[in-house]
Amino acid sequence: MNVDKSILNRSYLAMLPFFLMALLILFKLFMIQYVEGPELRAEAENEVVREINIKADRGNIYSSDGKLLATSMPVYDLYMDPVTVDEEDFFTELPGLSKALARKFPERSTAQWENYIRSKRKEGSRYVKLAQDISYTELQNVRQFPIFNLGRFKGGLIYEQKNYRKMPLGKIAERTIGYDRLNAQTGIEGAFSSFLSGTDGLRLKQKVSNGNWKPLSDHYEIEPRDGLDVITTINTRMQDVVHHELLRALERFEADHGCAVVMEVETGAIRAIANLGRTEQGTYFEKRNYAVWEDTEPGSTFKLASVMIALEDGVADTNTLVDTENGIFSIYEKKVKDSNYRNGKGGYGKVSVKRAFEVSSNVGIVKLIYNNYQKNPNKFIDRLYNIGIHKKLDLPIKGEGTPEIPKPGDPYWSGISLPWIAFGYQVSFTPLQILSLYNAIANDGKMVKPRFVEEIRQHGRTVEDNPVKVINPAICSKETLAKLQDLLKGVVEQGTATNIQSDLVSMAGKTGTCQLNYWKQNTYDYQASFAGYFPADNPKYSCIVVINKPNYHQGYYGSTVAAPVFKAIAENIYLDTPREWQPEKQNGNPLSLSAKKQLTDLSAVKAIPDLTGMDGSEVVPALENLGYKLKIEGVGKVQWQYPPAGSKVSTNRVIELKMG
Amino acid sequence: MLTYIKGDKTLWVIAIILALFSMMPVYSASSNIAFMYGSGNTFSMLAKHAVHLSLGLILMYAAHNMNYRHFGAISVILMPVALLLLVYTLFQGHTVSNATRWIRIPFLGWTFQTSAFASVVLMIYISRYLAKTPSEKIRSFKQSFAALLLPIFAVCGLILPSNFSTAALIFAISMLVLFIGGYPIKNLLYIAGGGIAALGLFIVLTLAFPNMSNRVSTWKARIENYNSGDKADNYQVHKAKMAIAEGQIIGKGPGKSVQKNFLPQSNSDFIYAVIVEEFGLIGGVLVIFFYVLFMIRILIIATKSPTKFGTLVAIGTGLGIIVQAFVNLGVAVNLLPVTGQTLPLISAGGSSIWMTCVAIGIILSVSRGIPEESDEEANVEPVNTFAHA
Repeated sequence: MNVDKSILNRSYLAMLPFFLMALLILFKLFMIQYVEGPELRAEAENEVVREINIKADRGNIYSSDGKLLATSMPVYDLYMDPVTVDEEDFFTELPGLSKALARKFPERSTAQWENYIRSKRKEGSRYVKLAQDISYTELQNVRQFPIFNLGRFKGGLIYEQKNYRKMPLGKIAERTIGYDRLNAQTGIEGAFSSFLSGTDGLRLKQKVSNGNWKPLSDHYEIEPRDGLDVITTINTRMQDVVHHELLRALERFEADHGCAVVMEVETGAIRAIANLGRTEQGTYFEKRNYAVWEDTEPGSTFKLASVMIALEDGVADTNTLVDTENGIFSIYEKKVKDSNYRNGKGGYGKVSVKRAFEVSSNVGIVKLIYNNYQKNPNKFIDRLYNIGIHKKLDLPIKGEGTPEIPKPGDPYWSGISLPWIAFGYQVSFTPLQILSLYNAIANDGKMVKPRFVEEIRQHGRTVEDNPVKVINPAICSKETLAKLQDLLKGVVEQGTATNIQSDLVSMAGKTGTCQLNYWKQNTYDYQASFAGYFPADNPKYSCIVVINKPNYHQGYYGSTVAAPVFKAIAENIYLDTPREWQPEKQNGNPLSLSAKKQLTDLSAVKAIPDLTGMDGSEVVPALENLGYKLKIEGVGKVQWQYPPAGSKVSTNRVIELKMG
Repeated sequence: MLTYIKGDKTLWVIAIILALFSMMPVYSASSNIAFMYGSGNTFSMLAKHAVHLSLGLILMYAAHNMNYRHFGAISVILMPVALLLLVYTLFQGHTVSNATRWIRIPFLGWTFQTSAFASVVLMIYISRYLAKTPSEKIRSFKQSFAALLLPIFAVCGLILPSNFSTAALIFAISMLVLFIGGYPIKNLLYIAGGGIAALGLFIVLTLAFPNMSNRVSTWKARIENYNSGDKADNYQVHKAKMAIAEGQIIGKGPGKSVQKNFLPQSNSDFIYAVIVEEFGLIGGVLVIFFYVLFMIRILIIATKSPTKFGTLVAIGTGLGIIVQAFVNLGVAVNLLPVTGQTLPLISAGGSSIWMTCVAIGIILSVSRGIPEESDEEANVEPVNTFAHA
């Protein structure tokens, strides 16, 4: 050793603190791990891990014929952070961006967009609204705009995804399909929400720098279970017919609102349901689900129940004579009048029960019931209860109106209650409840519950069936049933609804004309209805049409307002698609070969031929098949067209036709 | 190949193990930095670190190949160069972490921390002076002032404005080397007093002219944070503690650190916390063990070195690495206030790795000068190839 021993001793002395330091570090390491550890770990977990809700996809709603009625699709709200954009990029590219925005979102012009974004940047706003509810393809397009194409961080484009419920077939049966919102659930969407919504999943995410989160593991903690598909009973073709026929009648009679429902006799499946209410502008839209919700006095359609009870109790037969007198009958100073009472000079005289029913004689039916049950009104009321129409149908769709049938002893029961109930007043039912009664007549006395949903499916597999539910297996005896069916047929054949006789399909049913607010003076509010089924023998479908408050001057009788809708629906539905045209029966000329060719050529030359004089029923489908949107007024032959013949038209152009 | 590698084998192994191990935590900890500031390519960060290490190992090899006796002369030449570089850094420096500690190397574009270079040069310079100068002269405060003490004060004084902790550490190590080298304790106390007085003057000046340097306020904040333990202000330390607690015994596994995302200096100042989080107490204890082993090897080399210069050079340069390592570990486990010292050989960063490697190379060179036979007591005739040459 050449080195001085003292140097080495001093070296060891100098190094000693570092050994102690190493020990201290070790000690501290274990302290952090074991003493402070649990608290620190809990804090770390709390801070860096969070649960992310994974939204389950909502199920679709299909029609019974397999068409998509409601589905979910993502839409996006667009915002911009103009502050994050580089100053140079911002000022050189802003004109380009504004131009592109103005083209895409024309609510602002190029200059307005530029000023808007520029001022927002100046304000320091980092969340400037650009557009909302745009589709994914539109979003992809917007991302290519100047500035935005710089990327997510430099470009400042912010987009937020939302789920939007879309009805691909438009607003048809909108009210019945309904919606499912946080505090409002309506229609099938609301009723079957538990199936449709599925269960959300859960995923743990870990915080990484810059406020971003990454999935903690490859799998979801809870796998989201997508909602199930609901297959409704709606048939889109029938729905289309019902919707448009109802709409046409409402427009023609300027009614306040109306509904029309088609039900399959055997299964109770609602094949079509349209509910239209009038806006202030006189247009109609699916305002409320009148068929389910609105309970009103049914009027003459309820005479079916009265006659059924009389026949069932054997107090009368169809050929029993009733004296309708001069069409007016007083009870407790209240008057029951027939529609033809003509100040006491009208009436039908002595007629059979069948005839009284066919002509809808109020006096006849009231006297039939009043004379036989006035001593024991309970017997009649009990009978009504026995049918099962006193209870709600217990529909899945919320908001069903409650049927009302007063009983002797009720506070509202009076001497005129029984006679008034006999012809459909002082009781109250929804259109669907009345339809169920008529459907039971068509269905050999078996009353079934109206069904809106065929089944619940998952990936095309049936998960849950919705079988037919019988409310009452036999509402009356077979004999009574046969008589009632005969009566309903008679209404169309020789009663109040002869105007709807059709060569195409036989129908049976009952008109109803009910005065609304009759306790007030000089009211002209009526409810016109028609309930029945078709074909009259071996019925397939039952149908009810209720039109509320038609313009008094245009007509208000069930036979003139509601029954033709029923007829149109029956004819359209009964004639299976493709519809067989019988040109000789049509008003217009059969489409000439040259016109046909012209229409076919329309797609090629894009010039519209002269359509005047052609039959609308031929022109319309031909044009629609070519992809044109049509605006049509009236029926029959084309009287007027716009654009005029020879004009070049592109397929997104609306063609207006007036027919008559 | 092995015949070209001379010197203390254990030190070689420790250096290489630490260097190779460093790839894992650096790669892991860089992911966040690559994501936030870089192109998002973590591999480029790994490649950069690998290049730094390779260059460092080459420098280490080159340094160990030189006869350590030449370092003394070289340090005399490099001392003014180091001082000039420090002056240049102070006024022209490239700002990193709000402190002017770096210069950019022309053409290469790399940043270089001049204080690390100056530290190594200073240690050799002090060692040379203490070894060469007669002890009577050393004992005299006046006589040793110009050649010995002035460079120490100059280096520390030039580093102080930008990096207090490094200046203080270099000053402390210098004091230790002086102490080991037999400098009178009385004089050491004078110097220490002088150093503290200089520091006080600097602080007063800075507070009087705040535009001159913002460092004092940073130190103030750091010391306050350490004392108060306030969670919001002491963000880094708290995250480091969380990382250590999360590691438990065996750790989360390489690359699985979570807290690296929130530790601003995850691949340098706080890499030890990331190591413990990923490799657990086992990894953490092993790292301490390797530095302790490193320290023991330096003592052994110093003990065995046949010359006073060799002993002092080994201790001086070795202390530079050890002090830095333990200060870094101490900060990570919240034993010391945040200083900004890197973990030698493990933390990412070019110049700190290179200067660490050069320092180890110098120690290896000293170990090369140890007569191999000295291990064996039985050897009667010591053959010393270097001594008294």
